[in-house]
Amino acid sequence: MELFGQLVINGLSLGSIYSLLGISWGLIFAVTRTFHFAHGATFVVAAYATYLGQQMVGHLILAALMGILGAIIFGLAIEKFLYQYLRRAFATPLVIFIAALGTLITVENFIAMGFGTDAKPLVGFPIKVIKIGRIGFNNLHVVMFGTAAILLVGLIWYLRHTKSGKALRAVISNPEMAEVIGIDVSKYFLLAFGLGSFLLAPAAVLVTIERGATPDLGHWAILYSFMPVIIGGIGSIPGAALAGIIIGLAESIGIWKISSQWQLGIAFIVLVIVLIIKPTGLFGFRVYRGKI
Amino acid sequence: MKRSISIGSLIIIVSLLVFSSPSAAADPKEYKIGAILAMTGAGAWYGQVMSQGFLTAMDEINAQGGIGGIKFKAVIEDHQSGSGAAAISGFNKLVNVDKVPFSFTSYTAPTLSIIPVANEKHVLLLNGGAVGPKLVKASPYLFNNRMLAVMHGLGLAQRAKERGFTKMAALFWNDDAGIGTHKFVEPRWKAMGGTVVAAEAHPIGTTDYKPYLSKIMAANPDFLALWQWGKDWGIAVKQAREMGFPKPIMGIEFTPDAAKIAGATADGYEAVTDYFDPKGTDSWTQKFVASYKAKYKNEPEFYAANYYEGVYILAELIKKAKAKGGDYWHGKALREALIEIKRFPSVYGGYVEFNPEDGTCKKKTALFVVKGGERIFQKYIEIQ
Repeated sequence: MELFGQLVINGLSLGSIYSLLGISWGLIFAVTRTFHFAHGATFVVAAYATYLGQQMVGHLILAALMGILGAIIFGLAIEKFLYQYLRRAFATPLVIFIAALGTLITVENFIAMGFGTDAKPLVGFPIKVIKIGRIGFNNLHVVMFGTAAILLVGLIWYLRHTKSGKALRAVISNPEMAEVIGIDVSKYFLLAFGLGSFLLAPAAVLVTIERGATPDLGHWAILYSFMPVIIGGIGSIPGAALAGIIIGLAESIGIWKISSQWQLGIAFIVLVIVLIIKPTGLFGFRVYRGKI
Repeated sequence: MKRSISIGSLIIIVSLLVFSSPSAAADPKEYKIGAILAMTGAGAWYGQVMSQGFLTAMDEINAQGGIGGIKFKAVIEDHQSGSGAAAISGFNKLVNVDKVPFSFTSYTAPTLSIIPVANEKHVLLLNGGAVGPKLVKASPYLFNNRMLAVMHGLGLAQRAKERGFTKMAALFWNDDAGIGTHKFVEPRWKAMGGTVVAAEAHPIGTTDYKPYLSKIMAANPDFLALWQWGKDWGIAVKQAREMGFPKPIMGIEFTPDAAKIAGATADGYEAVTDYFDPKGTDSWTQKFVASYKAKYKNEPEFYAANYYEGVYILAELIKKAKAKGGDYWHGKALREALIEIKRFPSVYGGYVEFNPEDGTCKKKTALFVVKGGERIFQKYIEIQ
């Protein structure tokens, strides 16, 4: 029973990160319909910008803010200088996908060249171990869960109660109609990339505190960015968040009776089962109606 | 008659030229050697430091005019952190295009993959990084100038017994090196009166150990044994401590980058591993450390040292083989020279001694404990 409790705690902290990855990528995909594989590159940029920031200013919070800023600038630059250019050139979704994949690999390689391949740790987070019987976790896991919850609630509130949020929902629902009623769609594409990158960056910072930054983190990040979106249903922000938690719990609890090394396989089993039962994802119908 | 004499003379002259004294074999323009390393992927750090190690040695030797005026040149191929297919493809290029008679290698699976080609083409292989048990007696052309993991694992078990532990939990790579080490150590640990309460294999380069550690913590072991290398042990130790795992953690690896990741959580971590001390007093050690630091701005650790040392071993082989005459720049001649010499100076201080029967070596092995990010030497380990 202790093991089960431990696995649930692990699943919640891991799922919180997956939720952040999912809602950030899901927002960008819902608004722009761009399979933004370079989201993994944004994750790596955020991690290394934070590391670099800490080398420069020392303070973790300031460094994290620099990481978040770096991610936003990178996300906006990718949309402005790569995707917009390709869309203007009538590039097919496949071409855009390949360009994004190329961006991810290029960024990871440039970072490896510049920083080396060894893990770059962040210091200064005062880890406090919390024990409940033999179940152990720490305050970083609590921060992960809290950050994901705050950003999810904040995003939903923003989309429902602000003018630009409502405009974003209109673009998600029907970009052509949004353009007809005077919404500058390309401006909202940029906003989606900025917002998506902003939501992703805290996950990058928290993961880097826990594991250190390595150039290959981007591949891991992109895998767990689109998986919650597919499972939760494209266009559904709460769906992506819930799916992130489900994947985290499934991966964690799944190893209760099988070897831990098959954890990634469990995530894909969940993905396949959900797609077989409900090909549009758990909340997929909402895509159609464009509700967030 | 005259004509037949002149033809006969010609045949004799040609025969003399072809079958004349072996010392007449032509020197190569350069000593081109190969290296199959992890230059990309999760283990790219290894490829980086290993190549830096042998390039440092080559630069030193080349700066002094090479060996008898012939300089070294390295051709590096990438096995992408453990891919057998990539290793074979790279090695075929080294053998068929670059025509190398000698190659450095690393990682267990890629090394095992290239052995059939090395045997067929008589290419001498020197491994200074891989530790898998299957490397023992794997090929007459494979020699290892680092102690293999099974021996370190055994040393760790001896140390655990000495500390009075009985319940072992093991966390290890799910490859030949990790699984092989665990399979080797487990029966020997049980023979010492111990039990294994948890055994968790994980993919190389794992960054989230919480699932594995959850099972290990639930099994309530006396200590945790790590059969992991590179940065993995640092992340595992950090996450174990941050989950509140209070028991001793022991391993068979220490690398500064992993220690940096683990930070203060690594305090008390014990490692049984090769003894390369960059602060050592041996004059060759000091020369290597100074040379490496000048080039790469970092202190070398034992991976770089093994490959650095490998170049000097090769230099000795070349000199020995050349002195014997014949086609000395050939894997067979180099192998024969190694078997004859057997014992070489080591950059660790002391000597590295090869066992020609199985390709393993004996080198300094020691017990370290980590404190403040540094490994502190405790004592030498005599592995039984």
